[in-house]
Amino acid sequence: MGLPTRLHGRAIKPPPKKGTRCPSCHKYITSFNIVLKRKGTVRVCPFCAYEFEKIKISHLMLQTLLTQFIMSLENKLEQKVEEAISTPPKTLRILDEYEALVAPNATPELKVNDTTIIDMMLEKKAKTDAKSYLYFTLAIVAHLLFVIFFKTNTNYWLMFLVVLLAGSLFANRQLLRYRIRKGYYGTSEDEAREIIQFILEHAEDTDFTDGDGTKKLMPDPETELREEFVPVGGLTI
Amino acid sequence: MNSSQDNLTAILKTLTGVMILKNPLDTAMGALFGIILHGLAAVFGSSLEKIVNLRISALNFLHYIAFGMFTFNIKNYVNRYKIDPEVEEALALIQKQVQLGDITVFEAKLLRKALIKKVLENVTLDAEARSNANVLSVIKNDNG
Repeated sequence: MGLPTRLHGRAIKPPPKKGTRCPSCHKYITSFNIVLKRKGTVRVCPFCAYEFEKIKISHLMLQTLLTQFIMSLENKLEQKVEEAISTPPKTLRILDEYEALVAPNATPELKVNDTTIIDMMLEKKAKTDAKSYLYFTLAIVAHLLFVIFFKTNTNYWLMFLVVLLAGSLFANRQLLRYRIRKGYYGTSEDEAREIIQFILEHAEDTDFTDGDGTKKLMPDPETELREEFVPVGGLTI
Repeated sequence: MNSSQDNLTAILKTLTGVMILKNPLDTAMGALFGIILHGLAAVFGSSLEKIVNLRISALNFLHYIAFGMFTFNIKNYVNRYKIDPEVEEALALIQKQVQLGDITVFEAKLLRKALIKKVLENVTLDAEARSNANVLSVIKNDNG
C-alpha cells in the first residue's frame, strides 16, 4: 500500500523531492560523491557514477581530497609490493622448478665451515682426554673396590698420583688453549713438531681445505685492549 | 707478544706434556691396569709367594703403575709417527741458527710458523693432486 493519491476527491501531489535529478539514472541525488579526476574535481552520482560538471571547491577541501587520493595510491602500492615479495617472479619460479626437476636428490648447500687446523686438533684431543679422565677415575674406583672387598690397605699416595696425572693433563690442555688464544702456540720447536705431526698423520683421512683453499692454521690471537688518549677534533683529551 | 708469559707457559706445557707421555689415553689405561695389578698382588701375593719363590710384597704401587704405563705405551713407541727428515732438518736448522746468533728468537718463532704453513700447503696440494689423478683415471676408464 502506497501513499493515498486522492483525498476528498482531490488529487494529492507528491511531495517535491529535494536534490538534483541524475540525467543518467533519473534518480534524485541529495549528496554527491566528490572525486578528483585528471580534468579537475567533479561531482559524481552515487548510484550510477555519472560525472557532473567540474566544480570549484575550497582549498582546504582540495587538500583533504588530495591526501585521501595519495593515501589510496600508497595503499595500492603497498599491496603490490607485498604481492611481489610473496610471489617470486615467474622466471625465478621456472628456474626453481627446473632445478628441482634436474637434481631431485641434490644435497643441501654446505654450511660454511670456519674451523681451523688447530680447532680440529683440539677436537681430536678432547675426545681422547674425556676417555683418559674416565680411566683415571676408574683407576681410583678400582683401588677403592679392592680396599672395600679385599680389605687391602688404602694407599693415599696412589690416589694422589692418579689425581696428579689427571691434573697435569688438565693443566696441559688449559695451557694449550691459553697459548692458542694468545697466538703463542706453534712457535716452540716441540709444538711445531706436534702440529706438523698432526697434519701429516691425518693427511690421508682429513680434509684440510675449505671452500677457497687451505684452512686457516689457527684462530686469530686475542688482542689486548689498552687505554689510550685519543685526539678528538684536534684536541687531546 | 708477551715473551715472559710465552716462555713460562711453553715450559709448563712441555713439563705437563712429558708427564702425560703425549698419549694420555694409553697412560690412563696403563695406570688403571697397574692399579688393578697392584690390588691383585695385594690379595693373592702372599699365597703366590708360597708357591713361587718371589718376594712380591717388595714391589711398590709405583712399580705396578710404571709397569702398566710402560706396557701400554710400547705400542705407541714402536709405531710412533716419524715426520719427514726434511722437516726435522728444517727445525734443527732453525734451532742451530738461533744458537749461532744468525737469527733472533722471535724470527725463529716466525720461521717455525711459516714451516707449519708450508707443510700444510704441501699436504693439501698432495690431496688435490690425488683427487685429480683419481678423476683422470675415471675418465680414462670410461673412455677405455
